[in-house]
Amino acid sequence: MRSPLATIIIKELKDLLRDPRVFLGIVVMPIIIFPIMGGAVSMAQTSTYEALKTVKVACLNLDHGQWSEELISFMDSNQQIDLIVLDAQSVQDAVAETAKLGAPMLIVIPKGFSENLSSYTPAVISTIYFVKKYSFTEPAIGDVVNSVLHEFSELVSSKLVESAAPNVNPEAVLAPFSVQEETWIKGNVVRIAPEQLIGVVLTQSIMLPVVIMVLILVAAQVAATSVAMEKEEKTLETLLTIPVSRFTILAGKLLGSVAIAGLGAVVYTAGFMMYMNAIMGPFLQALNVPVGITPLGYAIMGVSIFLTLLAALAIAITVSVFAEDVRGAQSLLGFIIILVIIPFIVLMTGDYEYFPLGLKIALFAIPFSHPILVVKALLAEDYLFTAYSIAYIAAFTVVVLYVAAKFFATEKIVTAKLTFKRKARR
Amino acid sequence: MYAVYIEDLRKRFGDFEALKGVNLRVAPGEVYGLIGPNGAGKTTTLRIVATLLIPTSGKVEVFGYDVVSQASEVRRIISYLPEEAGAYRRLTGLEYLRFMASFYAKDGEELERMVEEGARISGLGGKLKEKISNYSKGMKQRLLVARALMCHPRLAILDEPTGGLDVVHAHHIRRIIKEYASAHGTTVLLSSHNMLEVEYLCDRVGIIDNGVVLVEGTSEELKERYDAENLEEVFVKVAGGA
Repeated sequence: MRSPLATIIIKELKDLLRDPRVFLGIVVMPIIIFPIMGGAVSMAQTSTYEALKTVKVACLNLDHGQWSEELISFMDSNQQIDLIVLDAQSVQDAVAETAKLGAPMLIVIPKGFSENLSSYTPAVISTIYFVKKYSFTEPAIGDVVNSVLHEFSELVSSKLVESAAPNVNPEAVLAPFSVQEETWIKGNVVRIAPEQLIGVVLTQSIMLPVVIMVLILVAAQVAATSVAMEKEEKTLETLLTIPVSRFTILAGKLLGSVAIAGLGAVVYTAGFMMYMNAIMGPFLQALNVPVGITPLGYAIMGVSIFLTLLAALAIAITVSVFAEDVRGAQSLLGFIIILVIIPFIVLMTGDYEYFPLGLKIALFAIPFSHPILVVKALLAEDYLFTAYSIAYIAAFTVVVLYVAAKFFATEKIVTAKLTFKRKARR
Repeated sequence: MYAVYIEDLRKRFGDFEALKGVNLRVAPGEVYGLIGPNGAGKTTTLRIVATLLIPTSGKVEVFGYDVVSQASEVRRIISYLPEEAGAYRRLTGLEYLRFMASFYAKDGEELERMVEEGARISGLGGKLKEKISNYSKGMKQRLLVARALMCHPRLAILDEPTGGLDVVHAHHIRRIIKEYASAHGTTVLLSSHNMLEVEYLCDRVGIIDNGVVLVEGTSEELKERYDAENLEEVFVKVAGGA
């Protein structure tokens, strides 16, 4: 014979997993959504890459000197640039002609360009971008042209140094020294620029909170739906009169939802990792540096997530008791969703360390901030903060569970009601 | 000792007083029917006896156990069927019976016996292997009544057990309640709008209106007292034809 708690948990699992909404939301959606997201992002990247394979560039040469001719032939020989030299007499005409040609960029070589260069006087080349679609490809086109112009500038410098001082190595003048960037991390000095390293760590610290946020939202939905369904179908009244303690019923519902949320966590994490691998994998492998969360850190993170989940589920279950049906429960849950999303957005866009004290306290008070704060603290190896965080969230969860249990023990579980239906429906 | 003992039971919901001093006694083995118009206080009374609601004042006992201070003892000996109750749609009928029986059975053997009895009472046969979402309203109610009776409660509290059912299913349910109660000596406290049903099923009847039990007695006693041809006429005379 199973214990009443196990019986309720198994019933919850059967009932929830057979619910097409739960099954679709927890199992099917991530399996479909994340590969689609990964595919869409890589398709977008491929299309940008394709668009940059050959860039149509118009050029107005008002100089017709030695260096401008050399620049035109330099650009012409570059396979990425499809150069169109215009016959226009003025910049205004050239702009009109470029627009007609549909070229995204016009380079204007001014009169006196060659003369300036030959006399060691800095010259100016104008580049005009034709912004039409506000897409990510447009600035990338500018980068392609700028990089070609930069290469030509280095070539000119080299030639000018050569002619001015034939016995000097132009490279020693143009770049007398170079910088070898290294970063200290966890006692190791690795040959990598700090911005690249932080990029990798940030990817991890963004990826995990996204998964955690989705998990909390899904779990809260599952728990609220489970109780609301019981109310809607009046099975809750029957359940509350069976010879089992109210706390066992509450615990059974909570643990059933936790199990479903755990399944959701695994599927979502796997889906998200597949997605991240699709777009970041080769880059992360190439870095090969010991950054990120340690196994102990993952254990601490797991405890934090579990406690936050329990708190979220207890709140969702208590709140959904006030709803008459599933739709009402979803509306009430909107308040919890706000409390989950606000810390997520604030912590993703800013640095907790530098927030004003009031905001810090508010974020610390919201239980759903903690998995994100813990992830950040773990990346910084601030274990003291994680200890405080876990102590707080544990205390919060105990209080919420106590309130939920007390609530379950009263008649309010049957009589509490907040209606969202329009009265005119009947 | 009474199976159900209710004395001066009052229940307030905010400003609204749903029960204004209900007095009621049900003897062990008796089938007692509570009848009354909508909002009379039938469901509130049954919910208090079923330990779902707490009385504002008054005394309610089930086989000597107080429904407030000894609620868990009461829950061990009662079985409650709410009005318009549902069952877990995504479980099969058999899974539902097994789920509910597991809270009452002491061992695996008793569990199987209860499930078998529930299956027999429901009369749903092979349909029990199907998900409850495929059941008609009548089939679902047969399953729920079977669930309420299979665990051999000392007191079965049935709120409108045949409400909204067609004649065939309603007849089946009335028959099984009557047969089961007489075969097992189970006390039944039920509410109904159907006077024929109450006359057929109940040993005694109480007419409740506006939170008070107005009259009690057997159908015959009431018909005689009010010089009525049937219970419906008694009801109209007592409840004022409202």
